Amino acid sequence: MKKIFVLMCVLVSLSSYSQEEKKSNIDFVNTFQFTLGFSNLAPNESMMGDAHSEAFPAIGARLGIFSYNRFTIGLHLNLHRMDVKSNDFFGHFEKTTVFTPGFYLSYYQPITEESLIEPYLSYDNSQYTTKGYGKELNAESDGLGLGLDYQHKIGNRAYVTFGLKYTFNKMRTETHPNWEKYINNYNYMTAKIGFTFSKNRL
Amino acid sequence: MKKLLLLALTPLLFSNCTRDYYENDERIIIEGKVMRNNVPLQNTEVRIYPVYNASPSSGTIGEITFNNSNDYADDGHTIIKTKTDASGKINTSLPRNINTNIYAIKISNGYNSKYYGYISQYNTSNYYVNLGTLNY
Repeated sequence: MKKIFVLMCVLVSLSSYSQEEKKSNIDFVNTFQFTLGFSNLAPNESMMGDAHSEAFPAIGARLGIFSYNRFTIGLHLNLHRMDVKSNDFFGHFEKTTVFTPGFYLSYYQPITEESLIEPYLSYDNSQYTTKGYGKELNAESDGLGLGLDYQHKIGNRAYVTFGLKYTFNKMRTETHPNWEKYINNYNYMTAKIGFTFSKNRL
Repeated sequence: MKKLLLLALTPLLFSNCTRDYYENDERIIIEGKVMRNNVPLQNTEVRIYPVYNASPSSGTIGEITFNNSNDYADDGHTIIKTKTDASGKINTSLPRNINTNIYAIKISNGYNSKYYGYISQYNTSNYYVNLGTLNY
């Protein structure tokens, strides 16, 4: 816990560093975001969606690595855990933990002097570990995320952030063609609230 | 000495906590029907579990009778726990067990259970197994 706190402080410091620098088109490590929220919301009709409950808390962090004008490319990490609510088709388990590293591309657009919206695209490589009743099941998926953040300025470089993201996942599972769509296409929404620390925006 | 013995046995306790490992890189679809006296057996519990000590030689699935009641019995590591629908049908899927590709089926009605087997490479084709009609 202490290490996570220290790491967050370092990332926030990095993203707020060189406060007096004049604005430039290109910037490095200028944005850090930390959020909590719900995941696996409104899943499509799929094996994973039907088998699992909503996930809370869904913990998310992302770091902008390179910015050009209002575009940012960065890395993100997400973690959520959900209960297995239906064993019928999925298997006899209790909980699934999902760890999702990936990268994103975003563009921010100021809407008032104090707020902005930031749509983004992300690649999500999710790793699922399901446990329960003396068993473990491992799975993996590739996902495309479409997200939109609303950020309201609350400090010099701090923004309170609300966001929604919809993820289209393709599970890496070989199965009978008639069930391929049900087993492999897993889509869901994530809702989050948190803070973004960024320089040179508003 | 007692402490030393406890310490030595501790890893064994933990190693038994998770025995069955599965990978989701493959899923076998399982379909079938459960009948009793030519009537579909609905809302009946069906369990599928991995079997490590059986060597089926054909794809025929029928009732298994045991010489010893512990032979091939479900030892608590059920991978599928489902119920038959209103027409007695089973529809489920199996992830890949990393240690075996042989599974048995346990059907329970009230306090009575019957075992059927085996799901194996002999009756799996293109990630699909049809159990046919299992007469309870």
